[in-house]
Amino acid sequence: MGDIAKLCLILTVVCVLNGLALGYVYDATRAAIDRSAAGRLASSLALVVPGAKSFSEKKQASLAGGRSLDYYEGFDAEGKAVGYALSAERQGYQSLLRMLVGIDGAGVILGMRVLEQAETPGLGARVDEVETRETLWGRLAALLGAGRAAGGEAPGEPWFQAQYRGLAPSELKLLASAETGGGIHAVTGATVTSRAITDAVRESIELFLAAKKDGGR
Amino acid sequence: MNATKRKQDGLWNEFAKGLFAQNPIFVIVLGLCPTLAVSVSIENAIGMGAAASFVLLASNIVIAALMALFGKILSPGMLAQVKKIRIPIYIVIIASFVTIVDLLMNGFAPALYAKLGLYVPLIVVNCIILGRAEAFAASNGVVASALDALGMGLGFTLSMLLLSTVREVIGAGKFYGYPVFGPGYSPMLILTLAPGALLTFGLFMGLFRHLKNMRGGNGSL
Repeated sequence: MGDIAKLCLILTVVCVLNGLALGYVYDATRAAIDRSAAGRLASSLALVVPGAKSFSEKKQASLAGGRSLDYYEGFDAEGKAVGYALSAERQGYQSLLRMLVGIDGAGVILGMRVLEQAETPGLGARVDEVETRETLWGRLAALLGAGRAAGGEAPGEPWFQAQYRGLAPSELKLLASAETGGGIHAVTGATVTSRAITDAVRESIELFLAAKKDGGR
Repeated sequence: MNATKRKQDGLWNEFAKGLFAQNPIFVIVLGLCPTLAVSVSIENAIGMGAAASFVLLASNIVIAALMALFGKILSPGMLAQVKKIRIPIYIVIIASFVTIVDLLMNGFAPALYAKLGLYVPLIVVNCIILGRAEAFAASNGVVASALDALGMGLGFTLSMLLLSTVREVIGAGKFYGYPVFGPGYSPMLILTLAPGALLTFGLFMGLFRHLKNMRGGNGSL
């Protein structure tokens, strides 16, 4: 009996010491974690509404059925509203896809970013793929080459997400990657992911425009 | 041969055994869940290897120190009792270090965290760490345990690099994110998917077996 009590005491002491250490690290890193989360949001907001200089806090547009849609309002340097950044999310092939889509007052897309996804590498995950013309050999030559700048090209926009810019919600049609014409070309072998993103974006814009009309805002 | 020299050889061996003779992935075959899941790209492999090595080093040092302390302050009878709760103690310590890595990475390496965040909690159940705590740190000194952790961590990281290089170059046509072949290369997707992980792993395991047999197969480097 006495042994059990001693064992409990030892285990408790070990746990309490670990708890104290964790509390200290949590406290020391909290500010940096908040900063990096805010930085991520600010940089994606600036990407989807390129003209905006500042953004409102998160707002909610109430939709039919008690649901709501998160959005941010973007302003230019004079404080005029230039567009909205809407959140959109939908279940993809194997993960929850979270998007941010920027639109102007009429609902035309200014930019679209996939914020979070964990789709199949090499298939669905290619929605984040940036086309680069630079090959490994070119990169190595640039790194080794005397006097040449090793900076490489600026990180480009993922080609799948760039397709959304300039389209109205009614133009968001999913096409096979080989088809020609206006619309969104699906990533080869990842129709489910491509369709989920396109549908979620279209739905968000349509719901937001409807709510805005109802609310008279 | 004097005693100091022999001791140095012993310490060197504690470090070096993790690289080949007792490689945690291909020879001891521990910690396969994170290995198979993360070895898709070289960048992920380096991040996961570094994070797991850090946790392994920290937990080996703390557990070796704690067990040495218990050995000093507790009576032999009590020590035998404490040995009964050693596994919960290991797990609490390992889980704390994993949470610390998680918080630090989230705060100070957000780009890496965005890629690896999902896998960091997996380090808790990485059997390499619990395995080394039980098989080595609990019954060895702090210095030897630290060297053991460094060797095992490096062995884990290098093995992940081997796997991810094969999988990324053939499966995605890229090396560290940069295309290796011209635009005409059509990637062999299966290697980046789960079956490719098992195929690549199996071939490397066979290769390590073969190399070990050629060296006489007695387990020494």
